[in-house]
Amino acid sequence: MLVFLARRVVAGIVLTVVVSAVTFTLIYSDGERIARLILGPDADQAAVVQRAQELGLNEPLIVQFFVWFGNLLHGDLGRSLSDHRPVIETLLSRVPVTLALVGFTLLVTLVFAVVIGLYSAYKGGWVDSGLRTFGVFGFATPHFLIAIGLVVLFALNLKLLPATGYIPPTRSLGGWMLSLVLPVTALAVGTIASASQQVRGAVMDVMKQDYIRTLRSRGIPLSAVYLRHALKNASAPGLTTLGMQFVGLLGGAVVIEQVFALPGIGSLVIASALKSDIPVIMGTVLFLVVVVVIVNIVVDLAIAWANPKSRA
Amino acid sequence: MSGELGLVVAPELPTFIRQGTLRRLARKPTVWISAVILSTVLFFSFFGAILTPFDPNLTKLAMVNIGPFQSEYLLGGDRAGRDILSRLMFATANTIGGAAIAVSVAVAIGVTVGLMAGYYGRTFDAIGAWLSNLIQAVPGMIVLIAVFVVVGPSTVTSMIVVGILIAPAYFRLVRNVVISVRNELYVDAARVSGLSDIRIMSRHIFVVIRAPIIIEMAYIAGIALVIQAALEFIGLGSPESPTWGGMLQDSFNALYISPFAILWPALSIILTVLAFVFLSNAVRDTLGDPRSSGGTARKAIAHAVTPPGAAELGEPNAFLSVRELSIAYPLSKEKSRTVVRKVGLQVNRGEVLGLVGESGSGKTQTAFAILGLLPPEAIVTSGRIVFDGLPLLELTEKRLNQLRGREIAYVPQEPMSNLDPAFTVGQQFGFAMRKKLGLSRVESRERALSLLARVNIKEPERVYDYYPHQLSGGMAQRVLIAIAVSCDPKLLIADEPTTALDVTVQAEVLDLLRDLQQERSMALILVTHNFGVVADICERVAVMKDGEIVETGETRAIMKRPEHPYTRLLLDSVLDNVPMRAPLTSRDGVRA
Amino acid sequence: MKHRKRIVTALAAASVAALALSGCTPTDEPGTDAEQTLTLAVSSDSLWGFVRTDIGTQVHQSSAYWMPLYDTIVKITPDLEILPNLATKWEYNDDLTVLTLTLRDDVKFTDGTPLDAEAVVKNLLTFRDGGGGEVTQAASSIADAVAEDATTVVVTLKQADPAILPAMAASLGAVFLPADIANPDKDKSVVPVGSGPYILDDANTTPGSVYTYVRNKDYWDPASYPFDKLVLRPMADTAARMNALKAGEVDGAMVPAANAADIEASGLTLNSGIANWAGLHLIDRGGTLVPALANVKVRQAINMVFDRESLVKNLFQGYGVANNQVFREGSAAYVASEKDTYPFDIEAAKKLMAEAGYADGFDMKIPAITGNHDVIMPIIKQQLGEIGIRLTVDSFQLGDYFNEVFAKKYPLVFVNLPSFDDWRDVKGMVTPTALWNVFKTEDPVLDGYIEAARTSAGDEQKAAFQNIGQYLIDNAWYAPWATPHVLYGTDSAITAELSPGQVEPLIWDIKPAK
Repeated sequence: MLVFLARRVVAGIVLTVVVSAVTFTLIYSDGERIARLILGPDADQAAVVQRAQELGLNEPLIVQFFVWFGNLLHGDLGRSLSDHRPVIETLLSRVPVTLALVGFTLLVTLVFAVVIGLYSAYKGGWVDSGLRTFGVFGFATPHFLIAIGLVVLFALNLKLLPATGYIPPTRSLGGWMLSLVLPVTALAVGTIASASQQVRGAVMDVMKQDYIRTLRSRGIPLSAVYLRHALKNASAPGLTTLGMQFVGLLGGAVVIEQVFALPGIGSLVIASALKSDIPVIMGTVLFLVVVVVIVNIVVDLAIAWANPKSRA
Repeated sequence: MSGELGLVVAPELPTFIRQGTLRRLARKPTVWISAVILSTVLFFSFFGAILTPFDPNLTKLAMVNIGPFQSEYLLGGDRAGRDILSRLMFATANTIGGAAIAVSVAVAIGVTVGLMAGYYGRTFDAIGAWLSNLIQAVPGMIVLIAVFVVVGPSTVTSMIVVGILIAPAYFRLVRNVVISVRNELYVDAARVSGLSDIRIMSRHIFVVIRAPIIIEMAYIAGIALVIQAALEFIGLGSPESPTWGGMLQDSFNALYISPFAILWPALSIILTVLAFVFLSNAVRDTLGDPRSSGGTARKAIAHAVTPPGAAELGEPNAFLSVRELSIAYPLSKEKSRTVVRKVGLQVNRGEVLGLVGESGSGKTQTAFAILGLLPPEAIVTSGRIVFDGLPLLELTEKRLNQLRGREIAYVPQEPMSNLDPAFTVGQQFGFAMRKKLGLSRVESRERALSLLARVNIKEPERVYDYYPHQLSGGMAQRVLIAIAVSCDPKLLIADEPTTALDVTVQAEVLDLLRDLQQERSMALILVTHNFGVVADICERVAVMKDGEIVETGETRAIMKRPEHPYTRLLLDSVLDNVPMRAPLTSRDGVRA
Repeated sequence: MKHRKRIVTALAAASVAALALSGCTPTDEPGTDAEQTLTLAVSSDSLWGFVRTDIGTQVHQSSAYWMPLYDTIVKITPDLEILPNLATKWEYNDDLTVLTLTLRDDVKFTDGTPLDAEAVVKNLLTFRDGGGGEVTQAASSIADAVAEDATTVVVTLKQADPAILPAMAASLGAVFLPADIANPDKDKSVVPVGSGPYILDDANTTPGSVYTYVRNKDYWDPASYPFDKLVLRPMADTAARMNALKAGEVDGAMVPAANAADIEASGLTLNSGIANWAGLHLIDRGGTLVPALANVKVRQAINMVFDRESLVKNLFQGYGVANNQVFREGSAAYVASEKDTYPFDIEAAKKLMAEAGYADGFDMKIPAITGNHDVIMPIIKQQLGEIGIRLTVDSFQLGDYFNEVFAKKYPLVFVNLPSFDDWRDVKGMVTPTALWNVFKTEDPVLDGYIEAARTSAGDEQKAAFQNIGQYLIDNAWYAPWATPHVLYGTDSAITAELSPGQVEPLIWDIKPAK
């Protein structure tokens, strides 16, 4: 188990370095552009070149990358080109928002996808068809349309929930949860739609296994077969799906954070992309890759729990 | 659309398309509606630019944000006073073209790498898997944003990136299919006959992966469309090449001035994605993917049972009596295939009946019918099964569950696939016994340990905590037998209990079954294709061929004077074929 | 499906329960407390870390974030009247080149440091020598500034500059702690030290989401700032901003014309002001990149392909005034008699093109901001196409856009340039050194008018401005479309007034409603 974990951690670190290096090469390829972005449009060319030199932006990319990476090991991701804050500080202030959004969405997705997927597989017939159709619609409808619909209904008309903004849990726990209800719902509809189909498929795959018939031959009720045996055996593919959903959700959060004015990683990366705030983008990419790596390791551990064979 | 890049594409698909697939597909309304939508979309993506009523870039200030059906702009005007209909038509090419780029890139990369990985294995496979994991570990939207920062807005570039991000789905699909066919005979034969690797791949393997690739294409095209819309929404689209997503974003900004404008691009996107997904699903379903329908067998059976005859409950002293049992599988609405035809059987208390026939003769189906565990699609078209006075086919699932395990038990053929891999041996004992016998955890453990010892497992304590993958085939079969008898059933149905085992173990397992049967005076139905097994253990025998019982009677009598030619054939095969006799001789050896 | 219904019900129930638990709506209802809170949505995030040096380097920095923290030397009203603030009195010498400011003697920074003449001098000079941008542009006429005594600052100008005092009501007039100026690299995320009416409440501030300001207890003029608490919420997304406004989560927000009707229908008040002129800025009028643009007839022809009235009606939803000049109606440089010059007339425009020798048109490139200019570019492209000008649109992200523009790579740009008052507008885009005179086009005749306007006053100055206006329209330096209105939606709790050139009201122009 420890060897397994260690191997995954090392692979994760390699992945992080590779992705960082590739991204770095891409977005730091034009050093003068960055110097120009810092100095503003009316600075003269000589000053730009000089600034680029000062910042080491004219060094070979590989050298720059090692410098960046070295600083990273000291917890320094540089400063934003626009607000001059340390990137790490900005990231840390925004991470909880996105994690809360994505985390709750995953939780909601997990519960609903399992319930719907199981029910769909168990019931069959028109219930199944209906749920599958809902799944396809949920998949095909863009997030932001769902989000706007929810805001108009629950925030503007019923006035039940806030339309925008984020309240940190430290200020008000209830307010925090309220501020997340609509964004999480908007984000979850799509993931529930596709995850429930995955659960359904995985459960039905399990249900056609030989051992299911044997279990039933022992008089174990079908409900128990579904809930205990099919679910646990389907959880390995299910968890893999969930891990990938998480990656997808980080992308979905970009859109949702815009619509609900949530100060998360998504709105940060959009604002930075539009402003070409390169250090922030670099830091965000790094952060997200690390999160994804961690999530994947957690998923692997969970799969090891669900599937004894993979522990070997 | 969250699933976006996180969406898992179903990896396994049937490897060939049966005849008549198209005809069966065409009968589904979702399919032809999807087909109509997609053909329209495809038509406009080729000819949309020519057919537009107005120049899609023509701006008329008077038409800015005009509503639908109010002017010559049929669907209204956008924020710059352009004809929405013309733009929709014109944008089809970019939209679908973008999706096509994504799909082509995904196919090109995924299929090539998947083929190599599947065909050559080892290094290629390892590199492919690593790349695939790498790509999947990167949040797609963030990559797209990073690319945007570097190259600026470009639909083509972003769709190429989307294609790369989706490629792992194809990679895994193709790799798995290729591995499964790689070692099949015809590929071996092709290799022996001196064909080059490329020829083999293109001639033989590509034929197999063609269908799944096409099915997934539709799905991935849908994903690409959804991603396109999301990219445009967050402002990363390219205004130079209009897409539906861009139009959606544009109309979103004018939502309160011209609320209908958002409808058209939204409908175009949603309908097209729906059509892609439904078509892909329908093709997959029609190709016989078992995921296509859920539910269990009971309903089918319940509907199909013939109404009880005039209180005819079979032979009065028979413990189990099967009469006139017929089972069919539907092929289409009109046609079905009968696999068991008017089968009659009878087992007395404590008796051992051999049900003999080669594979496909319907013996296993008969056994499942008795257990009430036929597959969902099976239909019992006629017959009655009476067990201990109870008409099994008419019982509720709940009542059947009370009988199963406690009264009737089952030992399967393939031991390794019949233990739930997620639970320990002990847990699997517990599930049955605690429910059936109402035992406590401790009691059930004691009983399980003694049963394990009884079936000659050496270290019951250790095996109790083993997971199935830690057991050998022989051990697993003993465990299965032990669980089957754990609730003292009165009838045990053993379906080819030794076929999957090593020759040396076969005899031991058979001995065990026989000993248990005698100890507990259970009735035993031994389903087998091997007359050797029958000869030694069974009092009576029923021979099945093509779904019918061709001969039945005392084992000794039939062995001596087989009347049906098929029985004779089976008997001869036992006598002529040395390996077939192995169980007999080896068991004799043990006895001696 | 029954199943789903249950899910929905459960969800609704859960949210209602959570509402009951928290006991209040997520934002404080303005006006219900004895303590008055003002909550505003701001269309841009704070781009800077509350340190002075950054103001100057940013184009179009929203003043909403810093104005509560830093006092300005003077104030300006929506009618462009200069009011005392830190400076109680100001005086020019005869040739308007020496400005003497008399400061209050009772103002302290929040760390206790007195705000004296030295501090003001230090600020002005640092801005003058700063890293560029609009503030340095504004400070460019300052030759020197000295502190005569603790409350007297003497500013010597290189030449007369009527724009210098209004600029001192904006970022040039912001007074920062001299120690911070001396040490610009210190951690920029710390709570800033200013002398303004409010201080940043760091504990209740989340960068990018909420900036909370509370009263500076020692402030000398609390009466001018009726709100006890100020909450600024950056919301770049229009949908989010409108939803927040309609849901009562903010008291005020900038409203795009497209949403104006909806905001009014929601029972909110729309306040309008004039911030910009919109239209084409023919920056390469010297013909450096596109020789054809050096021909005045070509520039005039470009002026005649746009139907200004229709643009205002359809593009700005009627919120604005068609205008063929860069100065707004009623200002000194606006030439009323030229109101109808360059009417929408494609045929006449074609004729002008032919006369200029460009009957077959020519090629040009224009830069665009991704996501920002999507509607305008197709219209420009089509209208210029009418007279044979083949336009290529290059899209850029906002961050790169201005760099591209000022790198002199494009002959024309679409602009929404600030429209303050005559002199500031001239200084910002007409003079040979003006930031927005991108190619630094110059003409001795025009220079003469500018010189006259700068150094004169009263009728003489008015005449000079008229000359400038006349010159610009005769020579078609620009192709303006309109003076659009900026719209600011407010709820019933507050009233707001917009100053010229501002897209959002200045903090002292927001008042509680009765």
